[in-house]
Amino acid sequence: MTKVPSTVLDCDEALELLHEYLKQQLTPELAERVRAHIEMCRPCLSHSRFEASYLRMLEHKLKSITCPPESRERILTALHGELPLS
Amino acid sequence: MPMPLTETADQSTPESFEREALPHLDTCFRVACRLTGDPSRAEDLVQETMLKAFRAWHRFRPGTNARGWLLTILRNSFINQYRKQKREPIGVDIDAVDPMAIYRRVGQTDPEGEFFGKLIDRKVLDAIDKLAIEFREVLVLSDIEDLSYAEISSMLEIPIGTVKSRLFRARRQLQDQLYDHAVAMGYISPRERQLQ
Repeated sequence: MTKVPSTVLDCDEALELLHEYLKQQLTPELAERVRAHIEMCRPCLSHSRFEASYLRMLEHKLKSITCPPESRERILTALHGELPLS
Repeated sequence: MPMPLTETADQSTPESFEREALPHLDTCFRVACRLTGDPSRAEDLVQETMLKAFRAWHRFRPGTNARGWLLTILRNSFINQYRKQKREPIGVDIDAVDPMAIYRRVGQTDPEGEFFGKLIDRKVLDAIDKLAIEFREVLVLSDIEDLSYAEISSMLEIPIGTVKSRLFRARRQLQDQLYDHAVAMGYISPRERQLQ
Protein backbone atom coordinates (compact mmCIF):
# COMPACT_ATOMS: atom_id res chain seq x y z
CA MET A 1 0.00 0.00 0.00
CA THR A 2 1.00 3.60 -0.45
CA LYS A 3 2.91 4.79 2.54
CA VAL A 4 1.63 7.89 4.18
CA PRO A 5 4.36 10.50 4.56
CA SER A 6 4.28 11.99 7.99
CA THR A 7 5.43 15.44 6.98
CA VAL A 8 4.75 17.88 4.17
CA LEU A 9 5.00 16.23 0.77
CA ASP A 10 7.88 17.15 -1.49
CA CYS A 11 7.52 17.32 -5.29
CA ASP A 12 8.56 13.71 -5.89
CA GLU A 13 6.10 12.40 -3.33
CA ALA A 14 3.29 14.59 -4.64
CA LEU A 15 3.93 13.58 -8.25
CA GLU A 16 4.06 9.92 -7.36
CA LEU A 17 0.55 10.27 -5.93
CA LEU A 18 -0.70 12.60 -8.65
CA HIS A 19 -2.72 10.16 -10.74
CA GLU A 20 -4.28 8.54 -7.68
CA TYR A 21 -5.12 12.03 -6.48
CA LEU A 22 -6.69 13.03 -9.80
CA LYS A 23 -8.65 9.80 -9.93
CA GLN A 24 -9.83 10.37 -6.36
CA GLN A 25 -8.39 7.15 -5.07
CA LEU A 26 -6.48 8.51 -2.09
CA THR A 27 -7.68 8.64 1.48
CA PRO A 28 -9.05 12.10 2.31
CA GLU A 29 -6.04 12.75 4.51
CA LEU A 30 -3.50 11.89 1.81
CA ALA A 31 -5.50 13.71 -0.86
CA GLU A 32 -5.43 16.81 1.30
CA ARG A 33 -1.64 16.62 1.52
CA VAL A 34 -1.30 16.33 -2.24
CA ARG A 35 -3.71 19.21 -2.70
CA ALA A 36 -1.79 21.31 -0.20
CA HIS A 37 1.46 20.68 -2.05
CA ILE A 38 0.03 21.36 -5.49
CA GLU A 39 -1.51 24.63 -4.39
CA MET A 40 1.82 25.84 -3.09
CA CYS A 41 4.00 24.59 -5.93
CA ARG A 42 3.62 26.12 -9.38
CA PRO A 43 5.43 23.42 -11.40
CA CYS A 44 3.40 20.68 -9.72
CA LEU A 45 0.16 22.61 -10.25
CA SER A 46 0.99 22.95 -13.92
CA HIS A 47 1.92 19.28 -14.13
CA SER A 48 -1.30 18.26 -12.43
CA ARG A 49 -3.31 20.25 -15.00
CA PHE A 50 -1.42 18.50 -17.78
CA GLU A 51 -2.18 15.04 -16.37
CA ALA A 52 -5.80 16.02 -15.69
CA SER A 53 -6.11 17.03 -19.33
CA TYR A 54 -4.76 13.63 -20.37
CA LEU A 55 -7.21 11.77 -18.12
CA ARG A 56 -10.15 13.92 -19.25
CA MET A 57 -9.32 13.24 -22.87
CA LEU A 58 -9.26 9.46 -22.32
CA GLU A 59 -12.51 9.52 -20.43
CA HIS A 60 -14.20 11.72 -23.01
CA LYS A 61 -13.03 9.69 -26.00
CA LEU A 62 -13.33 6.19 -24.61
CA LYS A 63 -16.07 6.06 -22.02
CA SER A 64 -18.63 6.92 -24.65
CA ILE A 65 -17.95 3.65 -26.49
CA THR A 66 -20.82 1.25 -25.90
CA CYS A 67 -21.68 -2.24 -27.02
CA PRO A 68 -23.45 -1.90 -30.41
CA PRO A 69 -27.14 -2.93 -30.33
CA GLU A 70 -26.62 -5.87 -32.70
CA SER A 71 -23.77 -7.24 -30.57
CA ARG A 72 -25.84 -6.78 -27.44
CA GLU A 73 -28.71 -8.62 -29.07
CA ARG A 74 -26.53 -11.59 -30.04
CA ILE A 75 -24.99 -11.79 -26.56
CA LEU A 76 -28.41 -11.69 -24.88
CA THR A 77 -29.70 -14.34 -27.28
CA ALA A 78 -26.79 -16.60 -26.31
CA LEU A 79 -27.59 -15.99 -22.64
CA HIS A 80 -31.25 -16.76 -23.18
CA GLY A 81 -30.19 -20.07 -24.65
CA GLU A 82 -28.66 -20.94 -21.27
CA LEU A 83 -31.61 -20.15 -19.08
CA PRO A 84 -34.66 -18.00 -19.54
CA LEU A 85 -34.03 -14.43 -18.56
CA SER A 86 -36.97 -12.19 -18.11
CA MET B 1 -18.15 -12.72 7.79
CA PRO B 2 -21.61 -14.28 8.24
CA MET B 3 -23.57 -14.58 5.04
CA PRO B 4 -27.34 -14.45 4.98
CA LEU B 5 -27.95 -17.82 3.38
CA THR B 6 -31.49 -17.26 2.25
CA GLU B 7 -30.48 -14.08 0.51
CA THR B 8 -27.60 -15.84 -1.24
CA ALA B 9 -29.91 -18.53 -2.50
CA ASP B 10 -32.44 -15.97 -3.65
CA GLN B 11 -29.88 -13.93 -5.44
CA SER B 12 -28.23 -16.49 -7.69
CA THR B 13 -31.10 -16.29 -10.13
CA PRO B 14 -31.34 -15.21 -13.74
CA GLU B 15 -33.06 -12.06 -12.52
CA SER B 16 -30.19 -11.15 -10.20
CA PHE B 17 -27.72 -11.83 -13.02
CA GLU B 18 -29.69 -9.51 -15.22
CA ARG B 19 -29.77 -6.89 -12.49
CA GLU B 20 -26.16 -7.07 -11.29
CA ALA B 21 -24.10 -8.33 -14.21
CA LEU B 22 -25.76 -7.07 -17.37
CA PRO B 23 -25.37 -3.36 -16.56
CA HIS B 24 -21.62 -3.93 -16.99
CA LEU B 25 -21.97 -5.12 -20.58
CA ASP B 26 -20.71 -1.82 -22.03
CA THR B 27 -17.71 -1.79 -19.71
CA CYS B 28 -16.91 -5.38 -20.68
CA PHE B 29 -17.25 -4.49 -24.36
CA ARG B 30 -14.96 -1.45 -24.07
CA VAL B 31 -12.27 -3.43 -22.26
CA ALA B 32 -12.66 -6.31 -24.72
CA CYS B 33 -12.24 -3.93 -27.67
CA ARG B 34 -8.99 -2.61 -26.30
CA LEU B 35 -7.66 -6.06 -25.39
CA THR B 36 -8.51 -7.65 -28.73
CA GLY B 37 -8.23 -4.52 -30.90
CA ASP B 38 -11.21 -5.72 -32.93
CA PRO B 39 -14.96 -5.21 -32.31
CA SER B 40 -16.03 -8.63 -33.60
CA ARG B 41 -13.47 -10.45 -31.48
CA ALA B 42 -14.55 -8.22 -28.62
CA GLU B 43 -18.14 -9.35 -29.07
CA ASP B 44 -17.06 -13.00 -28.96
CA LEU B 45 -15.00 -12.35 -25.84
CA VAL B 46 -17.86 -10.57 -24.08
CA GLN B 47 -20.26 -13.35 -25.02
CA GLU B 48 -17.88 -15.99 -23.68
CA THR B 49 -17.43 -13.91 -20.52
CA MET B 50 -21.14 -13.50 -19.94
CA LEU B 51 -21.83 -17.19 -20.49
CA LYS B 52 -19.06 -18.21 -18.10
CA ALA B 53 -20.23 -15.67 -15.57
CA PHE B 54 -23.81 -16.87 -15.87
CA ARG B 55 -22.81 -20.51 -15.36
CA ALA B 56 -20.76 -19.55 -12.32
CA TRP B 57 -23.26 -17.03 -10.99
CA HIS B 58 -24.05 -19.16 -7.91
CA ARG B 59 -20.44 -18.55 -6.84
CA PHE B 60 -20.75 -14.79 -7.02
CA ARG B 61 -21.28 -13.19 -3.61
CA PRO B 62 -24.18 -10.76 -3.84
CA GLY B 63 -23.29 -7.23 -2.99
CA THR B 64 -19.62 -7.66 -3.91
CA ASN B 65 -18.00 -6.15 -6.95
CA ALA B 66 -19.77 -7.60 -9.99
CA ARG B 67 -17.82 -5.42 -12.40
CA GLY B 68 -14.47 -6.60 -11.05
CA TRP B 69 -15.67 -10.20 -11.10
CA LEU B 70 -16.80 -9.97 -14.73
CA LEU B 71 -13.64 -8.18 -15.84
CA THR B 72 -11.51 -10.85 -14.16
CA ILE B 73 -13.34 -13.56 -16.12
CA LEU B 74 -13.00 -11.50 -19.31
CA ARG B 75 -9.32 -10.85 -18.83
CA ASN B 76 -8.53 -14.48 -17.98
CA SER B 77 -10.46 -15.69 -21.03
CA PHE B 78 -8.58 -13.26 -23.21
CA ILE B 79 -5.17 -14.19 -21.80
CA ASN B 80 -5.89 -17.89 -22.30
CA GLN B 81 -6.76 -17.34 -25.95
CA TYR B 82 -3.92 -14.93 -26.45
CA ARG B 83 -1.35 -17.31 -25.04
CA LYS B 84 -2.65 -20.08 -27.28
CA GLN B 85 -2.49 -17.93 -30.38
CA LYS B 86 0.77 -16.18 -29.84
CA ARG B 87 3.76 -17.60 -28.11
CA GLU B 88 5.41 -14.27 -27.83
CA PRO B 89 6.73 -13.65 -24.33
CA ILE B 90 5.33 -10.73 -22.43
CA GLY B 91 7.91 -8.01 -22.88
CA VAL B 92 9.72 -6.53 -19.96
CA ASP B 93 10.64 -2.89 -20.03
CA ILE B 94 13.43 -2.29 -17.62
CA ASP B 95 14.11 1.30 -18.58
CA ALA B 96 13.98 3.76 -15.77
CA VAL B 97 10.85 5.79 -16.17
CA ASP B 98 10.59 9.47 -15.65
CA PRO B 99 6.89 10.08 -15.24
CA MET B 100 7.40 13.75 -16.02
CA ALA B 101 9.11 13.14 -19.34
CA ILE B 102 6.27 14.11 -21.66
CA TYR B 103 5.19 17.01 -19.56
CA ARG B 104 8.76 18.31 -19.76
CA ARG B 105 8.85 17.87 -23.52
CA VAL B 106 5.72 19.94 -23.89
CA GLY B 107 7.47 22.54 -21.78
CA GLN B 108 6.25 26.08 -22.22
CA THR B 109 4.34 25.50 -25.46
CA ASP B 110 1.34 23.68 -23.98
CA PRO B 111 1.90 23.17 -20.28
CA GLU B 112 -1.74 22.33 -19.62
CA GLY B 113 -1.91 19.63 -22.26
CA GLU B 114 -4.56 21.27 -24.42
CA PHE B 115 -3.30 19.28 -27.38
CA PHE B 116 -4.89 16.15 -25.85
CA GLY B 117 -8.30 17.66 -26.58
CA LYS B 118 -7.49 18.14 -30.26
CA LEU B 119 -6.61 14.54 -30.99
CA ILE B 120 -9.07 12.55 -33.04
CA ASP B 121 -10.60 9.50 -31.39
CA ARG B 122 -9.22 6.98 -33.89
CA LYS B 123 -5.64 8.12 -33.24
CA VAL B 124 -6.03 7.73 -29.51
CA LEU B 125 -7.50 4.25 -29.90
CA ASP B 126 -4.72 3.24 -32.30
CA ALA B 127 -2.10 4.54 -29.88
CA ILE B 128 -3.59 2.55 -26.99
CA ASP B 129 -3.84 -0.57 -29.15
CA LYS B 130 -0.14 -0.32 -29.97
CA LEU B 131 0.90 -0.67 -26.34
CA ALA B 132 2.17 -4.08 -25.26
CA ILE B 133 -0.64 -6.07 -23.67
CA GLU B 134 0.67 -5.90 -20.11
CA PHE B 135 0.77 -2.11 -20.31
CA ARG B 136 -2.45 -1.78 -22.27
CA GLU B 137 -4.51 -3.76 -19.79
CA VAL B 138 -3.48 -1.74 -16.73
CA LEU B 139 -3.97 1.53 -18.59
CA VAL B 140 -7.46 0.57 -19.76
CA LEU B 141 -8.51 -0.69 -16.34
CA SER B 142 -7.13 2.31 -14.48
CA ASP B 143 -7.29 5.33 -16.72
CA ILE B 144 -10.43 4.47 -18.66
CA GLU B 145 -12.50 2.24 -16.40
CA ASP B 146 -11.40 3.79 -13.10
CA LEU B 147 -10.58 0.59 -11.26
CA SER B 148 -8.45 1.17 -8.17
CA TYR B 149 -4.86 -0.03 -8.08
CA ALA B 150 -5.95 -2.57 -5.46
CA GLU B 151 -8.68 -3.96 -7.73
CA ILE B 152 -6.26 -4.22 -10.65
CA SER B 153 -3.67 -5.85 -8.43
CA SER B 154 -6.08 -8.57 -7.36
CA MET B 155 -7.49 -9.02 -10.85
CA LEU B 156 -4.08 -9.43 -12.49
CA GLU B 157 -2.54 -11.19 -9.48
CA ILE B 158 0.41 -8.84 -9.40
CA PRO B 159 1.63 -6.59 -6.55
CA ILE B 160 0.33 -3.03 -6.34
CA GLY B 161 3.89 -1.78 -6.93
CA THR B 162 3.91 -3.63 -10.26
CA VAL B 163 0.53 -2.11 -11.18
CA LYS B 164 1.97 1.33 -10.52
CA SER B 165 5.19 0.81 -12.44
CA ARG B 166 3.32 -0.64 -15.43
CA LEU B 167 0.92 2.28 -15.35
CA PHE B 168 3.75 4.79 -15.31
CA ARG B 169 5.28 3.12 -18.34
CA ALA B 170 1.94 2.74 -20.10
CA ARG B 171 1.03 6.41 -19.65
CA ARG B 172 4.49 7.46 -20.64
CA GLN B 173 4.40 5.42 -23.85
CA LEU B 174 0.87 6.53 -24.71
CA GLN B 175 1.56 10.20 -24.05
CA ASP B 176 4.76 9.87 -26.04
CA GLN B 177 2.89 8.57 -29.10
CA LEU B 178 0.14 11.17 -28.75
CA TYR B 179 2.65 13.97 -28.39
CA ASP B 180 4.53 12.88 -31.54
CA HIS B 181 1.26 12.69 -33.43
CA ALA B 182 0.16 16.12 -32.17
CA VAL B 183 3.47 17.61 -33.32
CA ALA B 184 3.17 15.91 -36.73
CA MET B 185 -0.37 17.26 -37.13
CA GLY B 186 0.66 20.74 -36.07
CA TYR B 187 -1.58 20.75 -32.96
CA ILE B 188 1.46 21.67 -30.96
CA SER B 189 4.85 23.07 -31.88
CA PRO B 190 7.84 20.97 -31.00
CA ARG B 191 9.60 22.02 -27.88
CA GLU B 192 11.95 24.85 -28.43
CA ARG B 193 15.44 24.70 -27.12
CA GLN B 194 15.49 25.72 -23.51
CA LEU B 195 16.94 29.15 -22.97
CA GLN B 196 19.10 28.86 -19.92
